[in-house]
Amino acid sequence: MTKSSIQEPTFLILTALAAGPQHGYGIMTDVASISGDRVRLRAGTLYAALDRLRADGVVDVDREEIVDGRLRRYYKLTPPGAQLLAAEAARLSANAKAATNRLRRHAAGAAGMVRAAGAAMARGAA
Amino acid sequence: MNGEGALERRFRRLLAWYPAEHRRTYAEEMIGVLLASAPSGRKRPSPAEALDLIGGGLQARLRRLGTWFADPSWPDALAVGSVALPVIVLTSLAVNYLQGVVTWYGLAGLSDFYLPALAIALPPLLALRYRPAAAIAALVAAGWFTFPLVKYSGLSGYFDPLEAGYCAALLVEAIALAVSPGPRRALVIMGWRTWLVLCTAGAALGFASLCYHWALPTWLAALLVIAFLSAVATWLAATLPRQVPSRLLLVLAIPAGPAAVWTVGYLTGTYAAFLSYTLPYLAPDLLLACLVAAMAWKVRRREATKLPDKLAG
Repeated sequence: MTKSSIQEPTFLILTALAAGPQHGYGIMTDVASISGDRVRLRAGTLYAALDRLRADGVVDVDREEIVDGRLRRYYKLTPPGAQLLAAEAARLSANAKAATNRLRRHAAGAAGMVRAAGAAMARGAA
Repeated sequence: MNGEGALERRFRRLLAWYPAEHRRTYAEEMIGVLLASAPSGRKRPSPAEALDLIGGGLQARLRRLGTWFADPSWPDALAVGSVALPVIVLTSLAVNYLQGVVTWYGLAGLSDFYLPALAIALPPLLALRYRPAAAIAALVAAGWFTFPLVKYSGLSGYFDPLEAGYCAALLVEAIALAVSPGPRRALVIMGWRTWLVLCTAGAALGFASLCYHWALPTWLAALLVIAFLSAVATWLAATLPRQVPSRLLLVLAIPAGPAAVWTVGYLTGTYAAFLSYTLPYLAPDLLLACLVAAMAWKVRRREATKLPDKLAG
């Protein structure tokens, strides 16, 4: 669907919307919660992303409400948006799995080297 | 005024960085979110919030500019440009030639008439059958006009606006023929009224060289030229399908710059003296040429890949 990966804030916005339609402030708090407070979106960044995602057909408006005299617009993930998020999640998951496997081998290799060095030292002492 | 009212007013002022269309869609919603996320009692946006809104506004403006440049009507605008430029230049040259016949001042010579006419007329005719070869021919002709410009002007700041105009027209012609469907498409888009506007503009350009004895003040000459260009642009825009005119006018503005300088020089009767000031007037032309070349590159790239990478980021 796309040639390159999506950026983290976009990924987190789509992840927030995967749970169901949310309004702007709800997305901001949900993104902070999903990322363990590591990513805190501001309004300018959020609405730049929402505008782009709406133009690309990834996100759409679900409904509008007036709460305390203020407009509250709920956004939802579209079917292509869900597809995009699924593909990106699979890609990240595959990368994470590859990294974990290699780190495990790396750790095993390092432990083996330590053991071999220890054995060599013991032989030398004998 | 209470704290929230002051804060809202300041947020609204920051939202002015966004394009009007974006504000119409999101401003009320953004104000709600901004106020909901601000700590109570705050009267001013934090520097981080202000920077985020300014950055978001500039990003939205750039995105709209990018959309304007990526519009699918660009090839049509360039196709019309590939015909419009030769029509204007050839009509102007024809008026000059007729002026020589009627006034018996002497007929225009090889370098004044036949070579420019041939250089500008040949590429679009060639493009009816061999478009890539026509683009190369226009590029070669542009180089041919550039050579004396560079050779005789050097770094002195002296540029003949007429030759600079030919140069710009041929360069734009080369770009237009390289990335657009070319004259065949233009003939479908252009109606008789478009032809009439283009011929009128060309005739007026040719007629200006008769008016050197008017010796108008520079400001009046400049005003006349600007008023005429605005009238032509408005009239031309009314004869073409929506989306095409703004892009076509940007393309035509590149050779229109030197042509306007040349015309002002004639209307003031100080053509020779005016030339020494020409170079600074050509700077916006270079900028426009860069913009059109960037757009042409984008059109070419989109056509080549046919897979817009829209969803990234």
